[in-house]
Amino acid sequence: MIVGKNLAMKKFIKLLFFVTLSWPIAELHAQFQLESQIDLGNNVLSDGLYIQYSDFVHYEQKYWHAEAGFQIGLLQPQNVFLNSWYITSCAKIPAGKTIIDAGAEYAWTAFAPDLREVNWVLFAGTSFTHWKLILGTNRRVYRMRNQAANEESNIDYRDSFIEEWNIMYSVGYRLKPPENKLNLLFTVTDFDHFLIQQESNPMINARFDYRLNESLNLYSEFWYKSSGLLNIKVDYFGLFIRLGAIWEL
Amino acid sequence: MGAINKIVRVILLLTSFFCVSCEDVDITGFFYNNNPVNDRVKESLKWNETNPRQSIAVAGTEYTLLIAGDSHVGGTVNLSTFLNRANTTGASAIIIVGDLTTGHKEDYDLFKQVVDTKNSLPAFFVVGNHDLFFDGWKAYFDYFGSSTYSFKVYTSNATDLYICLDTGSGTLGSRQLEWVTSLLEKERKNVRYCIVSTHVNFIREHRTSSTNILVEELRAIIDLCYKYSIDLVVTGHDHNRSEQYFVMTHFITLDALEDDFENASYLTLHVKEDGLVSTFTGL
Repeated sequence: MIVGKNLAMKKFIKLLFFVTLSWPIAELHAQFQLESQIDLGNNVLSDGLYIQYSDFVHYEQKYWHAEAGFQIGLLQPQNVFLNSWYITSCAKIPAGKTIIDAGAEYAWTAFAPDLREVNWVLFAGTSFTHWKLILGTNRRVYRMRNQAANEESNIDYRDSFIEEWNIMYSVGYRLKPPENKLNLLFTVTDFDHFLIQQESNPMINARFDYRLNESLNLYSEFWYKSSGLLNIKVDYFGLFIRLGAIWEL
Repeated sequence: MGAINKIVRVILLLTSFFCVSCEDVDITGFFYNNNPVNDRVKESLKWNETNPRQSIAVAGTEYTLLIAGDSHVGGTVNLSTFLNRANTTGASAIIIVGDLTTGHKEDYDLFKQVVDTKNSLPAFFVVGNHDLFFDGWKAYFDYFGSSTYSFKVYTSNATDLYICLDTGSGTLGSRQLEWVTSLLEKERKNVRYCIVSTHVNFIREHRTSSTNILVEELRAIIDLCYKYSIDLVVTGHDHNRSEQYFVMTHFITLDALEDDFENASYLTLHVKEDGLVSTFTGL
């Protein structure tokens, strides 16, 4: 027990040390971004148009990046308002001429009033002039809302199940270097901000970026989702358009 | 950048090799579907209007069903064994949850021939992804009709509802989702147990290279299972048995029945007054 306590204390000191070191750097180089986006789409579940709105805050310094976001449903079939939120933190590790982002994420989703999905994510990614690559893994837990689980406690049931390590990937190609005023990015991926598909269900995304000025970037995205693409008998699932803006503070 | 280009080339080369070398997979189906699920369900529901499924009445309060999946005919050894055992073990019906064949017309002919000659029980089938390859839906529909339907089993003191769904292309589609929701809303309160059979496994216990239901749709399905207290969901597709529970629902994925499959088995489902008891039986 004493050994365990010492180990925990050492970890705490390391964390304190890191945070203490980080803040001065943050003061010097930190940059905040605010981002808003709206998704308008249709899929086999939506019975017509669905609309979801999201906000994000990004905090970035030389060797570190953090991000948090949430999504609310304005018009959607699932009977919830706050759909999802997540928090991400990653280190920016120099590797030769490039930088590797390596980090972790926690994501929470309410997909029904009593049902939740929680994802624990590890990822690493890098970016070149044209290519943008991310590889990661997630552990997904479906579970009942705690209060609902307590109410069900008099019957024989299981309140969660786990989907073990799933592979996450994103392969993107942008036509112009990232600093260009206009840009077009094509991506094949199995995840988005608030949704992680299983690796056998790739989604296709085309994004158009327009840098209006030094502090404002506008973008639009087109997403297409199918079931069974490149794997079994393909079928349509859904598509949506995303409109967004990023402010650099 | 050169390294990335090389990786892309290797992936394309391997994909091409896989595409050319596999006779059991219809590569065009990976990109194009001439019978999308909404069209298949439309045909199935229309077929149901003129060919309602026979309900099963059993003597007493308990009964047994045998459920298998992924027979992938060509080979018929395991399928024949399964049918023989069903005939001799006092089962009330059989269900085969898709991938009956490889999708080739001659395999459908063979499957139909074996079932017609060796099976004497009410038999219920659903379509799997392999059944849809090589324009297989036409053969499936000609031989077995609907892949979206329900039937009931009446005991002396209860009624159980069985729902068979088409997930051959990895999605229920809007039409089928609407149908099953409406069915559950109307029927669930009137029956004792509700059991769903379909091909593509909803719950993935371990990582596979084969497509499962998209996460958004899976969430909706889990919600349906929770809301309507579905007792059991039996699927195939993965070829490896697994069992998961979530709230009141027991999710079972079957082993493949396919010949030469090392762990080939089927599920014996005992439906009792005090619950459902399922056991895997090897071949």
